[in-house]
Amino acid sequence: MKKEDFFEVLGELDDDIVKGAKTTTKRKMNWKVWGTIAACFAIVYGISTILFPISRDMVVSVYAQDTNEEITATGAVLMTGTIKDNGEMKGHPLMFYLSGQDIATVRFSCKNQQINFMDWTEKRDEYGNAQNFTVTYGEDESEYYYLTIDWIPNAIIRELTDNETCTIATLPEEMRNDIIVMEITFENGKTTTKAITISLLDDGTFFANFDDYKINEADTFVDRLDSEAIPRDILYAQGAIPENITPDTPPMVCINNKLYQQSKEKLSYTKMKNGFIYLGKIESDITDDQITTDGVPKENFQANHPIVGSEIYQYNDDVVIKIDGKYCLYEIIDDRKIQDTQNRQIEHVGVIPYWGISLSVENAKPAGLTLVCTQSEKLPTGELQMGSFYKLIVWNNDNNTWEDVPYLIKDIAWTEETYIIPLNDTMKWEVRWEILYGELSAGTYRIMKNISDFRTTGDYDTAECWAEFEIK
Amino acid sequence: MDDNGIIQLYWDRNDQAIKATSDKYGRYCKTIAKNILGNEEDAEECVNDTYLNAWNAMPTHWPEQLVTFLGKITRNLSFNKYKYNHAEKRGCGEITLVLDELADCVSDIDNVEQIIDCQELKKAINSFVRNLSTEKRNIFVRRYWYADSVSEIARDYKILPGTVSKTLERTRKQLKVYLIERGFEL
Repeated sequence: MKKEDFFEVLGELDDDIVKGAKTTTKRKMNWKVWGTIAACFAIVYGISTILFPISRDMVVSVYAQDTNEEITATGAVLMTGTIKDNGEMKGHPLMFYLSGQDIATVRFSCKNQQINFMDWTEKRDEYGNAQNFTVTYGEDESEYYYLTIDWIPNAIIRELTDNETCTIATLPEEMRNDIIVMEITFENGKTTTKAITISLLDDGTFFANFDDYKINEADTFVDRLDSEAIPRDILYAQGAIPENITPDTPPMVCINNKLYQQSKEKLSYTKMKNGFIYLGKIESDITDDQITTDGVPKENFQANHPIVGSEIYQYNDDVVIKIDGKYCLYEIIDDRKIQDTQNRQIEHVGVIPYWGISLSVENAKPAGLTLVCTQSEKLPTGELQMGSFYKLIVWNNDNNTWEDVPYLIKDIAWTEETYIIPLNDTMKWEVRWEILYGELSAGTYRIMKNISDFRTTGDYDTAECWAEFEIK
Repeated sequence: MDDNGIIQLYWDRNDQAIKATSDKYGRYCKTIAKNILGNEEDAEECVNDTYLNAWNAMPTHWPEQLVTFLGKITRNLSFNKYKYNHAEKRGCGEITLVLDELADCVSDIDNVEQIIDCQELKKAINSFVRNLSTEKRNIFVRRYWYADSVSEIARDYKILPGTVSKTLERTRKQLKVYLIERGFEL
């Protein structure tokens, strides 16, 4: 069959499938609230237009990314993102693009929070989360739609998250309000300055408006130097940009090559101790010498919390540990064993069976690979997630051991994004590690990802999963 | 105006039907046409022909989904125009890339002796697409029904263009295997 004929056959997809792919919901503004203001503005605008005609060449508009609603001088409550008193943010409060003609460059300056520029055509420099940078727009106006700016209120999130007594209502004024100034230069050399002002409302929604702006002496944030561009292959390699993350790991022990996690149930097993089978004592806990970033004990009779010397008893499939005179239940995480062949002690190589996870590698090259994660059959208790962190180890044939691949740089920090692993599906991630590890030499390697079964904040289980690959 | 209101205008042979259609779906149809044809003039022509076709179809037809009814007309007209233009070596839009990608699913050979049960093929493709995850399905339809660019799809779903391309590549391969397993050697 010719590809043109196949394209025509695809035209016969069912109506609901076709419609569902491009459903856009126009969010209606609450014009009852803003109608009067809008009417007043219209009168003022009409008069000012007569007195000061606006050149069509210098008309720049701003539209919200998801809804394509124009953000005007009148302003409106944005329905694309909200924030709660506990710092939890949903959606994107303000993600926008510019529309206009013959825009040469736009210099963005964000006063209090951060902004992230993305060029979906992948032609222009990007800057990660930054406050000041200049974007080259160019003559092709059809590309402006693909140049989006996402306002990231990291400082607000941090303040609400870190400070338990802090609420939106108690946030200082400068934190609840922000401004993004845009110094626009046109192809003909003319310039204009506009700004979007954003306000966090008491109910966690955001109000924004877009208008002409005049930079004054107090606007020192505009004088900051532009951020350096970050190459795309670095920007989108998993984990290369500031913000530390260290996952909290629940109390665990490793006994006879099985992993047990302290039970969340608060039960006393003191009365049941006659049914216990003595196994031994905790011999060690994770120290700084053991290179691990996930807090999971790796060696037998080892804990990840300070209970060295505590007695261990078998209790059915689980174990009970006597801590300070009390018997505490540790439930088995799964029935798989930590593999211990040829001096390798690796958990979950290729699969996490109780979550239906399989992890493998495609296109392994000295500078990176494609990580493939498939979920099927099993159901987790919450949502399966993974973060940006990963780790590489290499098989040392001389020593017959796995060893960490050394980092090229110090002070590594990992970005905070979370990737959802959908059920009954396969996801792929491109991993590029030149900055962290350089180009790998030939050998047998494993890459590790932490995968979590996330129920709610502070209530999740984490497991390591390794995928093996060869560099030739 | 809601869709039934617009359809009723056609049935009443009220010439306001075209204006109502244009106001509500003009941009939608234009986007489809421009994706396939790549130029304003040809796209405009196809959209106008869409309205004419709709006028001729209603009555007696009462579409269940007016939007996809119009979209399909535009898509077919635009693609026919593309084939004409292509024969004449004239410019086109995103469609050339889309067709090259679809070549993964078929032999791209015009085998006149091959008999294909078109109804069964359509059923199989619908079944495959319906069973994809929501995001995969929408990305597939946006690319191969609407002929949207990878950049546009990436932007709307806030995923990297490379991820869109990889997702599409994988889905095309899965579709090919799916069809082969059901006896469609395309």
